[in-house]
Amino acid sequence: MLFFSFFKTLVDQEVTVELKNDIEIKGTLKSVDQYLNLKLDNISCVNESKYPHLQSVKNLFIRGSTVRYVHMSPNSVDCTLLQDASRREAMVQSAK
Amino acid sequence: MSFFGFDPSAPPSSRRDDALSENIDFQDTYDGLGEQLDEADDAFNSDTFGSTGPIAKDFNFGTGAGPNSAPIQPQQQLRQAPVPQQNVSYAQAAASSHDDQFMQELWGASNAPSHPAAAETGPEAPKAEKKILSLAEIEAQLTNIEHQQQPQYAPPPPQPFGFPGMMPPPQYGGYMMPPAGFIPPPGQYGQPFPMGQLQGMGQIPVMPPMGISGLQQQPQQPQQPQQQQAPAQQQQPEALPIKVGKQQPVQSKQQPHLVPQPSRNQPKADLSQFPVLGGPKENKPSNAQVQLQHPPATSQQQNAPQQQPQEFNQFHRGQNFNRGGHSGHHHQNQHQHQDLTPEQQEKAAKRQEKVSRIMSYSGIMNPKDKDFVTRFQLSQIVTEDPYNEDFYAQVYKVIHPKSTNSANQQVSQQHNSIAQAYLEQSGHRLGGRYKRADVALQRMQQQVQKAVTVAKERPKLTQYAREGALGKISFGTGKKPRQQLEIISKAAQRKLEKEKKELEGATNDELVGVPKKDRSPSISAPSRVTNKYSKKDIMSILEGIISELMNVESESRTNSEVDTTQLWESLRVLEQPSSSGDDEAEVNPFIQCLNYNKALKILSRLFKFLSREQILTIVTLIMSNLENLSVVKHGSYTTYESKKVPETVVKLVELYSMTFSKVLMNAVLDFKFNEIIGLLVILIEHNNVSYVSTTKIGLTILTTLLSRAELIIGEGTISATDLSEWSSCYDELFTSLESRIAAIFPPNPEDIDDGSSRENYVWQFLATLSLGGKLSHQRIIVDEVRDEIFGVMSRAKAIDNTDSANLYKKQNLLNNLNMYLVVMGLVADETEIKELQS
Repeated sequence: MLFFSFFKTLVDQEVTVELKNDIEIKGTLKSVDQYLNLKLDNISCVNESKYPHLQSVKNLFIRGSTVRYVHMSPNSVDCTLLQDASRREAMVQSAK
Repeated sequence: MSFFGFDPSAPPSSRRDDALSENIDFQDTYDGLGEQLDEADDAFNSDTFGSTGPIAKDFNFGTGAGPNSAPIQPQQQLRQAPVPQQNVSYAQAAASSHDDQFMQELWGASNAPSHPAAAETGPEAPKAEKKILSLAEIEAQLTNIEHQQQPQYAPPPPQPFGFPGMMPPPQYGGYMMPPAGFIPPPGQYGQPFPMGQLQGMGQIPVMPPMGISGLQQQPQQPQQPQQQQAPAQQQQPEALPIKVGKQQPVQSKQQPHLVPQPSRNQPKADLSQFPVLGGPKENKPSNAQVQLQHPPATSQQQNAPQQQPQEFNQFHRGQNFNRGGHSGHHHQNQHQHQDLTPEQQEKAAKRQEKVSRIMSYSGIMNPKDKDFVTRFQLSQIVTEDPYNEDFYAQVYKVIHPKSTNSANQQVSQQHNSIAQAYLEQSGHRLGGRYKRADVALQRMQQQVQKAVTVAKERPKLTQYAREGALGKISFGTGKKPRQQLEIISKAAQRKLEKEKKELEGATNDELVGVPKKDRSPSISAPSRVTNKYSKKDIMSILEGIISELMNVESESRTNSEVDTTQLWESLRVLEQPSSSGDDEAEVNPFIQCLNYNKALKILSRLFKFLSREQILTIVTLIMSNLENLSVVKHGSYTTYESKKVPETVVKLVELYSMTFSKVLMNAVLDFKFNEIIGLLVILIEHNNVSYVSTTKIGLTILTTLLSRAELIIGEGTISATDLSEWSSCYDELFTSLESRIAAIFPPNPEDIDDGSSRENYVWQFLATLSLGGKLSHQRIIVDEVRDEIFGVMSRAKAIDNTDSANLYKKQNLLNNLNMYLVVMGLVADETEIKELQS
């Protein structure tokens, strides 16, 4: 649940999603679920000249399994907290 | 609604209202009608519904209230050429399976394609006139009938249609009414109705078989109903409603509008009398009402303009029973259609089609359905322990309140409130933050609560081997959507093995015990004088501390009283005494931990949970181990040939100033005077003070202790013995520093103070030292640092007064210097030192 928890804090922030098929989509993260499916709003394609077919699309739903990277602003990440959260996750895992 | 014989105890419209109302028990979504179905005659389904052939995959699940669906059609046909049907509703789809016959029987003759009428309107007509009712309309009409039927049951037995008491009237209103005149051949026809009762009522003799005829007929042969009567009975026993309808007029001559019917010549008129939904209607007392009931058929076939108003009435009435938003829209359109040019009409029709295409799927899910989906999704991700499993998000929210983008937030909160809450509250304590949550939110919160309980009850099944299947089916859970590799760490494996062997017997125990001693020094500590710690040991101790700290923190969120003994033990402060100069590996593990960034970062969090005594113990330990801290050990320029501290150490020193120094400063505030003296004494005893003073951290620690002591003295509540203790302690300190004071300045003063910072720890220390000393002490200090004082003045002078960008540096340099000089009543500018005027 760590990544789910993490992405929840990015809701309403601008992110760039790089898909496994090389398309990069920039937009406002609207929602995320446990599969890390993403819902983006006000999207624009970063490499639009290469992939113009998303020009008319305003918002979209991305299946989590097709995502390669999610780029985000470093300001929106609390690294210390993330370290703690990772430890906690590891503790939970090892407790099982 | 008595379609299949189930009990529509509530009228359909009211049931729909239910769906909209709040506070529904979700479990009640299913009204259980399915269980009441009489499935005895399912074998006749194909007769009832026709053999519709293969069902296509593009079945339209929409409401079917498209622009071309039934209600509008008659209108269009009335005034303009038949419009080809573009949108096929499911009813139409069913009809287009060319089972006109059964449609006719099912929906009534007037709705079925009428061939005589077709002959009148032209070759295109049959297609156009296919009047197919959407389910909603049928419902609407049924409701109508039901309402109007009510009086029908009031009349006493003489009434031909009276079999009251035989069946609950509202349930079997209209459709399933057994045809009184119909005697089913026992073998051929099942027993869906209590036929015996029917017969007992003596209805049969009264009934002229002729009555069935007209309606029983296919529309193609409206003229010769009687002849077909008997075969029709037998061949199409399912066409009950129609028969009923037909029977009545014949049976009861009391009904005025039905009387003329048989005598009429025009089949059209005849047909028009057979209303959309079969017989019961005909029992209506007033003719006018009846006409309102079934005008579509009438107008359709007669094209009579004077009937239009009635038709509209009918149309609107039907529409009003239609699903929510549609009716109004259609209603309006209908009016518009009347006085529009064909062009406009076409336009409007197009628009309507578009709208209906969009609308056709609206309302497919009612609020309960949506709730169900929400709950299902929630149950996957909710957790009882959000601070553990959703730690990052929960704590992040607390640490970073949404002040930064509150404007954004508000806007998005409105649009996104459900999703937001869904994400934020998945398992979180409910309602706390959303006191004024709207209804939908409240409902969702209830959903969350339910979901938590559901998730609790759900068995934690991760694998399932199905019988006959080759592999195992593994389920992802919400928390682990994909199966993770199950890897047991070596430590855990060893532990497992150990437990296994312990079970096997004591002899094996010794074998395991040997390697264990090497690994964990703490356990074997009593037997040895000193332990050596590898980096790995220190790291694992440090991780242990952090884990304990996190445990304590999460406990403190729910409990005000927290047990910190485990945390204290994990620090291992008392595990091994050590002092400066000991072998690096043998230093107390807590001191060794302090050489790592992550230990420093948790210091302030850690100290929050420690008692004053525990903190004092730790500080004492640090004082005796100052030179074992790498910031002191490696933090002095004197140990480097280049006289410069390496970058890595500088970074660590910076981190110390940010964390350790602040924590220490806070801790010292709690210490008593004699405790501070004790700390200073320990520091002097165990460390080379002149060396420590050449490091930034060492000097800062000295400054902190001295200034705190001086503050307490300033309060004037110190006893004489304490004061004498203090002066002897100060003397000792001063002696160890004397003649080396200038060395606390690093060779490149720019390194520590280029004027850009408002603080200079060296001058701070000198100021504090001077403040605590007597005049003689101050003189010695001034003598020793004279060069530095003038050095600063000349550096300040070197910054040109016109260089406005660097002017502040000049000021800072002088201010920092003056902080020291002021203690002795002096003040310096860039050219000279004067006595302080006050």
